[in-house]
Amino acid sequence: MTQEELRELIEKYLTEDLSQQEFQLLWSALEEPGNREIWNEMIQSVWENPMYHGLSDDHIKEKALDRLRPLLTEEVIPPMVPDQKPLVRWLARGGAWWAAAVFVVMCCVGAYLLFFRQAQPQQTGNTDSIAAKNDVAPGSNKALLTLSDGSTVPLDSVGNQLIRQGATTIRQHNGLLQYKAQGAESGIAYNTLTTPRGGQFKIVLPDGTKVWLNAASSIRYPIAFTQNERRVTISGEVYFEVAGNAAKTFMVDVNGSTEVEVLGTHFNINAYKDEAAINTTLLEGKVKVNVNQQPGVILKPGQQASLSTNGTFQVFKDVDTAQVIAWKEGWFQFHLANLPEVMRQVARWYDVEVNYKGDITDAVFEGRIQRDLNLAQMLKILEKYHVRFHVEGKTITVLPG
Amino acid sequence: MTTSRYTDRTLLLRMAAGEEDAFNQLFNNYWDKVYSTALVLTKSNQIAEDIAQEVFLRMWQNRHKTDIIDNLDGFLFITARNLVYNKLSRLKLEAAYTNYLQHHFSLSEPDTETGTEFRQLQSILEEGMRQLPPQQQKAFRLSRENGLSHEEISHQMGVSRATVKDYIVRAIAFLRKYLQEHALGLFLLILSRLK
Repeated sequence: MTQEELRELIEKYLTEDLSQQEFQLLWSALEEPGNREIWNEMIQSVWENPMYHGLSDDHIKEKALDRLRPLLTEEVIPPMVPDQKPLVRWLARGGAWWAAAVFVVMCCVGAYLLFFRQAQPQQTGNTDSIAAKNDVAPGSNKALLTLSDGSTVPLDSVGNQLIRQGATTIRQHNGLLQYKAQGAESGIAYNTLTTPRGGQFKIVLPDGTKVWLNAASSIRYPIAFTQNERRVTISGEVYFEVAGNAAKTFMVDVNGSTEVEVLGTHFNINAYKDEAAINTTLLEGKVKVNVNQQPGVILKPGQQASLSTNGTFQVFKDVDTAQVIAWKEGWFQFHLANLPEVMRQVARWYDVEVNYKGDITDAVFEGRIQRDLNLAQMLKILEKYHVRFHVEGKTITVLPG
Repeated sequence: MTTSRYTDRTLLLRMAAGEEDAFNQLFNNYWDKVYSTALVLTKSNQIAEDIAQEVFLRMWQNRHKTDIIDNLDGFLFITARNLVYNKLSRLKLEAAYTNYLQHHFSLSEPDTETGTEFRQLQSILEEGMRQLPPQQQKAFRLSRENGLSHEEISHQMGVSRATVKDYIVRAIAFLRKYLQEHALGLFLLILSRLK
């Protein structure tokens, strides 16, 4: 076949359908040395010709991006050998020098084992079975609103409704609940918004303060802030962006032990009872954290006050605040997290029980994973790091690695 | 491509640092070009989607490498070109392609059973053709409905033969995609029928 004939054949391929013989002919021609160049040249003219572009559409594009996303995040979560910074933080937490040394050795052993094992491809045969059985959907916008008279209103991500309570209008729009006071409210009435495991919700309080509730969390607040201070009570994990009002201090009560006096704006409180500490992290502005009725400490942005369950109270500097509020942006984010720490978040978000069988891997996890994956996809990512699971209904058993 | 080299470079460096947001922007800037090229060359919506996805996955996986950071357009082009070539050369051997062609040719004479299907497809195709830009539509109709050669169309429309070819390649790629979306798999009949 001459070069000219080949060009014609390629052009025919592009403008019409080739017969089977012609198609075979084209491909055997392309296997001849030198002919690939002609093909490449013609492909390049397609690539560079804007006339041929514009064939995609939003639907195709979105679909592709959706499929790509989980593949991108899988990479970002390799277990790692901790660098200097976490070591300093560990010491700052009051750990003795030897404890820090043991910790580093532990991580190194963990990381060594992981990297070493990674070199040999390992069968994760039960992945398919996880995916095949009834998969668990990720958490979504859902919550329960308890009104002052004790009646309850279930809220989900598709609801749009207006609820009237005295002089206050409550508007639900998808995953957001918004309070609007119209006229003076007499007396104090409280509402409570509670998210279940596997739920999250956002609320705008009557003063304009924005509040994000993570799974298994709650906030109790007056439907109008008529007192001298604006006081709310929370549990679980909550992020606040407090609306400024110098005349009325904003106060947050946490599990009865910690009180956050808000002098500024953005902060996160993690007060899950199954976590080792109540952590208040400040992103912007100024807050004062009072513990057990003692006069407290003032936090600056980037600092975290931590009250551990054994009563130790500490302040950490230069905390990775992006990690702290990753949940609100739709991510699980782990920083030197051990497996139980990872699995506690998984359990809350997917509303599943987690059990352990045998030794738990001492690997530490670093990185982020989106929260909108199904449970099977999430576990599949963890399995890449040689964690093995057995899933039955809503119970996950972590098997020895 | 409307993005400048400078913007791309900033995005590429951000992507190299692991920023997914930068990946998303580059994906947005280049998706159409990669997908459209793959569609024109493979003539299959599904294959084009798979190939284009793979191209962007490789872009992410190789985000640290200098050949991406120095020349993303070149990297995307070469990756797409190789994937298209591999796919088509495999298709040559696959029974699927043989069936596709046999199906294609054996059904080219309408019988009563396929008549209804044919009319349905024809109306879907008509819808698709109406969505083509006027020049492309005209060139395509002159070629398929009136059976004119590219040369004849070129004279009639007063444009070069190369432009006629461009119109027809573009129209075919669009219509194949349109039919695949609206008539699922039965599309092959009609484009040949109209010749």
